[in-house]
Amino acid sequence: MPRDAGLPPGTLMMLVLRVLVRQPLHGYAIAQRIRQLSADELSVEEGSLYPALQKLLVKGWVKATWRESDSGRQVREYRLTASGKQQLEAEIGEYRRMTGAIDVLLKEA
Amino acid sequence: MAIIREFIRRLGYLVRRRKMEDELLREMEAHRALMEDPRAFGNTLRLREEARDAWGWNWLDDLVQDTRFAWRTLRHSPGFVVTAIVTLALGIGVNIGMFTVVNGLLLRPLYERPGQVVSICGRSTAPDGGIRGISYPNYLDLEAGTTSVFSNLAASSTAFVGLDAGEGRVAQWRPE
Repeated sequence: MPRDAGLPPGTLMMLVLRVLVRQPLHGYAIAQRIRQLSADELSVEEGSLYPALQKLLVKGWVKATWRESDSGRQVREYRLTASGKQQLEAEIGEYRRMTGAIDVLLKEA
Repeated sequence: MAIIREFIRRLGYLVRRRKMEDELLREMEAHRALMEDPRAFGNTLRLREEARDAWGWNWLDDLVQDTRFAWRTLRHSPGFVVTAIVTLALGIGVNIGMFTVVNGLLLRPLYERPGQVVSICGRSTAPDGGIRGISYPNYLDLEAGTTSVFSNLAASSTAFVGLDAGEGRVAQWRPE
């Protein structure tokens, strides 16, 4: 259940998939990246990040592998799969359609 | 296809749940260690439970837990168990008995193909046209003449007899 104040409902999975496009990341890095890229506007709580990641794994949109990080720590990295890329495109399309409709309504109504 | 693959993946989580839960724990500990303020991570036990929810087997855990709890509770009160079982058995038994009777007598036809069974009777030619019986010779003629129509024919007759009602015999009517 998304309950982050900083994220519009239903967008968390899309954002996670999006930041994984460039390179595989572990959970902490995903949260950091979302915060940095949004200039601190969007924040992901651990309480909703991990359920979302498990959901992405079950759906087969990401794959997880353990790796030793540069600081010598064992981290679990998530990598986007082919079906994850398709899903991301579908979600972005749906998101643009929705925000476009809302924009039109805000201007015209 | 995607749904089937997802289900198989879910099954994998069920079968290897120990390992998966362990991975979740290690992953969250690693995350916590990276944070500036690890306390901000929150309750890992609760977070793990919420994350596990995505695997879709929490209902199974709940079911097992509830069943165990019910079993323990019932073992401590055998009298209640016996009462409950007897009550259920009586209730179900009586209902099955009643339904068997109603089903046999009222719901199902008493014989097969009831639509093919007809009754034949004579009718008076008088204006009031009352229903009359058929004589035995007429019945025999009827039987002989309708072999291509009816597969079977049967006749019945009514006889009135007197019964002793306590004050000696009261003969009412006797055939012949």
